[in-house]
Amino acid sequence: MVRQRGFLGFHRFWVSLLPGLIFAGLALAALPAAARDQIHIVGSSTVYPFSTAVAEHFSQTGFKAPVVESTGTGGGLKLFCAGVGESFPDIANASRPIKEGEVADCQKNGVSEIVEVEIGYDGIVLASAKNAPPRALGIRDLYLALAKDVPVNGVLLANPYSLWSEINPALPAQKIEVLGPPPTSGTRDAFLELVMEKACHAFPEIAAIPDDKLRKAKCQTLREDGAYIDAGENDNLIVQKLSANAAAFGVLGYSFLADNQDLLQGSTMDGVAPSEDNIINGSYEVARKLYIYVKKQHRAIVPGLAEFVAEFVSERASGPQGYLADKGMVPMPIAEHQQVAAAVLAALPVASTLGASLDLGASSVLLPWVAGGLLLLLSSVGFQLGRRRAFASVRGATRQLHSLPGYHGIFVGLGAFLPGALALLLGAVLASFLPGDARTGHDVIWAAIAAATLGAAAIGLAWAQRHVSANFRARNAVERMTMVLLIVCSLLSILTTVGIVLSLVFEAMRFFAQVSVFEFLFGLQWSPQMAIRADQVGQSGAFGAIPVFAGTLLITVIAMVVAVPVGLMSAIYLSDYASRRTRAWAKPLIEILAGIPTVVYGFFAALTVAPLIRGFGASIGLDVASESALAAGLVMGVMIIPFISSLSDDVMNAVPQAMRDGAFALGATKSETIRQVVVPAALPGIMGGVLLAVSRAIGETMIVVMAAGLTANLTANPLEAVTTVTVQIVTLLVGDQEFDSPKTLAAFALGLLLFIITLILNIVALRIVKKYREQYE
Amino acid sequence: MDHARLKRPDLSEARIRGRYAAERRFRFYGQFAVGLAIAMLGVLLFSVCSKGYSAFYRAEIALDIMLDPAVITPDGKSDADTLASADYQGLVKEALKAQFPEVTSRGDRKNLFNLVSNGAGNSVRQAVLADPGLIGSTQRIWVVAADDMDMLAKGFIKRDLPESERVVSDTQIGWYDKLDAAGQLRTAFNAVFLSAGDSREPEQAGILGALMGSIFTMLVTVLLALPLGVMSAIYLEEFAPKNRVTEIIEVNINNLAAVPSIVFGLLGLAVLLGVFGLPRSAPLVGGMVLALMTLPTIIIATRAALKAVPPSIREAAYGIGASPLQVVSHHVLPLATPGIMTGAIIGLARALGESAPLLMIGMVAFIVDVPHWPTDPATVLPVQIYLWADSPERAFIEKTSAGIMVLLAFLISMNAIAIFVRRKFERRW
Repeated sequence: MVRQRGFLGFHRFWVSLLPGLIFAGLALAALPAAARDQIHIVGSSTVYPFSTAVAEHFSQTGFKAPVVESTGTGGGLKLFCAGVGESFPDIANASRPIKEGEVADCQKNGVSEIVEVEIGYDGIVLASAKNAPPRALGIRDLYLALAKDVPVNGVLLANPYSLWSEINPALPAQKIEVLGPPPTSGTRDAFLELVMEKACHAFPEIAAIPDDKLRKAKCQTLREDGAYIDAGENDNLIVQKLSANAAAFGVLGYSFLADNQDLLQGSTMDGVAPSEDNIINGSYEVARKLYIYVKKQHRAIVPGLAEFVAEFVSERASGPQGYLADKGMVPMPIAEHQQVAAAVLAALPVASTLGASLDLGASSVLLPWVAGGLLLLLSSVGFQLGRRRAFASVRGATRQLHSLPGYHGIFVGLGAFLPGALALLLGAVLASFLPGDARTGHDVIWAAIAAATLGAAAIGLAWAQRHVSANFRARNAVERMTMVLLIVCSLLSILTTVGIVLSLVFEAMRFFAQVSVFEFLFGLQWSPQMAIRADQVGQSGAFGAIPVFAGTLLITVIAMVVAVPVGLMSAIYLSDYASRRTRAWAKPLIEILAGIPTVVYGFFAALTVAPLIRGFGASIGLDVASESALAAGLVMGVMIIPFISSLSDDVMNAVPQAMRDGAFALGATKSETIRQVVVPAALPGIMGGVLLAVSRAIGETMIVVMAAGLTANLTANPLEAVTTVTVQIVTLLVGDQEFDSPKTLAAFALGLLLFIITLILNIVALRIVKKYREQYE
Repeated sequence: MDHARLKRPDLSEARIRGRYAAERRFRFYGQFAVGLAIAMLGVLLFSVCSKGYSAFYRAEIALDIMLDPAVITPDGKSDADTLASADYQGLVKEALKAQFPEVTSRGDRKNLFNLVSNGAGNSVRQAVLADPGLIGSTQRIWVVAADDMDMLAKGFIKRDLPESERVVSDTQIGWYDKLDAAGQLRTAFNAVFLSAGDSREPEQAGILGALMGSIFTMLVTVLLALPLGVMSAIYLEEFAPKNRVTEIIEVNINNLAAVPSIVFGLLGLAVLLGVFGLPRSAPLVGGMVLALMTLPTIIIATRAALKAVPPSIREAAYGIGASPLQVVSHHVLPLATPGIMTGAIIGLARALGESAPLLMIGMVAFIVDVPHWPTDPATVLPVQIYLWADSPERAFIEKTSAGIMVLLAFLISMNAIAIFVRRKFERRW
């Protein structure tokens, strides 16, 4: 093991540099390698399928394919308005027009020239499973079925209807069950305006309300008693859920209906079928416009921006016969399309000269790397010089040296490397803060940084070299430096925690400035239905986190009911009963369950388990929601099994053999020994393991995002849909609402609460485990 | 004694039988639990594979394509650029027109052209680039069918449904059957799936972009998490004085190991993107977030591995005059390496399958180009799966499952390496 020569050698020096090298390398990699040459698009998930299709066609014309992110309209516009320059997006997709507040935000950050482009329509359809009888609805029926308060005999009452037939005798006597987009969605916003509001003004009771705001609020508030179910927006999963549930309707974008004609049917709306023709000619009225917003100032920054927009408004893309129509977008009528296209082309002319981007120049891209390389070279030279000098100082009689020559070498090498690396890093940070216009002077700046780096390294080298002498304690110096490095590394975990807490607290404070802490912690109603548009009146925005946590708890309990017995029994069987050979293959197999990505479990829960449970429930006459807590909980339980089994395995193995032997000697059978001696002795440890598993279940995201619901029901019935904390975080952050609204900020408050709860669970669990371990060791 | 036995019937036989039965039942519960867990794994893998295997082949259509020099080399030059950028899709359309001359109306033509993929021209381009001598002749070339035809060929579209309820029309099915009867239809290995980036057209979508994104992300994660984790574990296990501060650090690390991954995403959003202004959608940032997430796992595994090295090794090294740091770096660390590696690989495998934190930092994006650098926009395998699960086209369901298969293959091979390392280098003291 002792490699006397090797440890004098050069490679040790490299090893000692390794951490520094990695950080310097990553820092350099983070520098813009070149000017951005691809368009960056953010925004609405509704427009996403259309933008991506245009992006792909655009890439075939010789430009680089744009990057399209699905962030929700609000999140997208927030990013879009954050500033002008390479690091900000060029285009925002929007499923609603931009709001005044957002325009002001843009102006404030220097985004002054925004071009609005209408790209087409998205029809909103009420779809149901193909095997259900076709139904003809009217917007009046929908209003009466879904509004929170409806006029009954001249008075506004909490919605009393539970069957369609109660609203309209022509409709079947079936439970009202509509899966629709969550309050954070632009689709929901349009649905409220185009269906609910329009229908409600026809009632004299509503029209009689004198206050404008109150009237709107009454019209646009959806009931929250389970008839309307917040489900995902625009995804294949909702299609699957509908096709498995003949009684339910879904509020979907037209494109999903078009692509799934064999699974779904669209209901006629006041006698008009949802078809492309009917949407274009305006007879199907439940349709809204889709937009993209283009940052005109970016024509000089990204090549091909005007060309991309030209492609978007071209005949072959968004025209009546264009490929976007194939993707399910409802195009504008020819005349309107031509008008829009002409206006856009006038606002954003395709000019070849502007397309040429401001290049950083090859030299400034290379310079940081050259500086880094030279620094390394200088450090290596330092190593060799230090070692030589150590040898020379005692004329080759190394015994007279306090430290081996290699240590002197490392000392001098680090003496050159550390100041040089520091200078390089500082320079890089300073350079990245330069305003975009100063880029022309980039080469000069980087040349200066390189010079400073090498200067600092040379000074450090000379300083260290002066120290080298026979009595110099080079090893101790190097070891001290190493120790500092080790301490810094172990402090990083603290830094991470501080970072997490700060980043959550900061945003959560802004949330609590608008919503009281008390209401958040103890409120019994969670329905973040705040206005999405300025002219819309706030609906019942309620931010009581109790139902969300109750839903989390319900799913966690189901998961534990599956995982604890199965996990514990498998651990017992594998540790005490199974033969060595069985154990050798069964244990890794079970552990694979823990290694499967959660997105896979989510897919499995939504597409396989949930329909199975629903089908089974229906066959025995039970009414199971499509997004039942049971499905998500069962699958999560399967995921948790290996945690429980391996943790219980460990603690049961830690129970001293003497205790088992004692039980056997008294004549107990194996199972009696386990049940009455081993498990009770290991119980605190097992409890600790279970608590760890609980905290994992609470924080699990993907399974519930894909398989659980979005409605916050305060229920203990596992067959109903509930929502969880993590689902709400994801939906709130990628929704279509304005980014600074309490809705988005609520995500951070939930995150903070989640962090605190798992923290407490872990501390308790670790305490229990620790206490138990001490008893037997 | 005899007297007593006569008076009271001996129940011990029955009691023992009862106890043995309880023993057998208990044993059966154990077997059942193990069986159930493994059965769930089996069901899961089966449901994924049965949905996904069909994505690895695709329908292709053979067309007699006239490689018209007027289209391919309009100005007579036949340099590589001209050959590569010619309108091959147009040639494919011409070939379809020639095959079905009876189709004349504009709408019908559009339906006819929808038999082949938007990328059908690529096959022709490859053929021409491979042998420019073909220009001017008519060649039978296999081109990619459109996703609807692909679904039809794989039997996912039911023909017995009424026409209005199908994505493909009766005429299209007629053309399809005609091609099939003429032997101009086949299913072949889908190389595109393994060699292309994402696409909106299911038949052209590939997993390579996400795979490369995952590789870059993992690279950044390894480079950051491994040295940092190992070094802080060395300090905590070997050098740290036992005091209040180190105790807090320890509790803190154990807590971080169980913090929900989505919280790390919120951290990345607020600090890495917000404060430091790093680019969105970049594997560099994804790797950093995942490194922070993996760090506690690696620290805990490394400490366990260091602990397992017997004190006699350390004492022997001290005995011959090594300094504490030399003891650790020359003796303890090399002996603990296999354990550290196993822990690190398992931690990384978890990071590879993680998607929730990446949703927060802009890696949910449509990216066609395969990334070549850690700051290039990219997505990763689990996120790609999530994106495909969200797409409206039916054909993406099989892509989703096939993506899962690729991801699982990747994960299982990583775990296999970990098991191999453990078996090969593990030492019992």
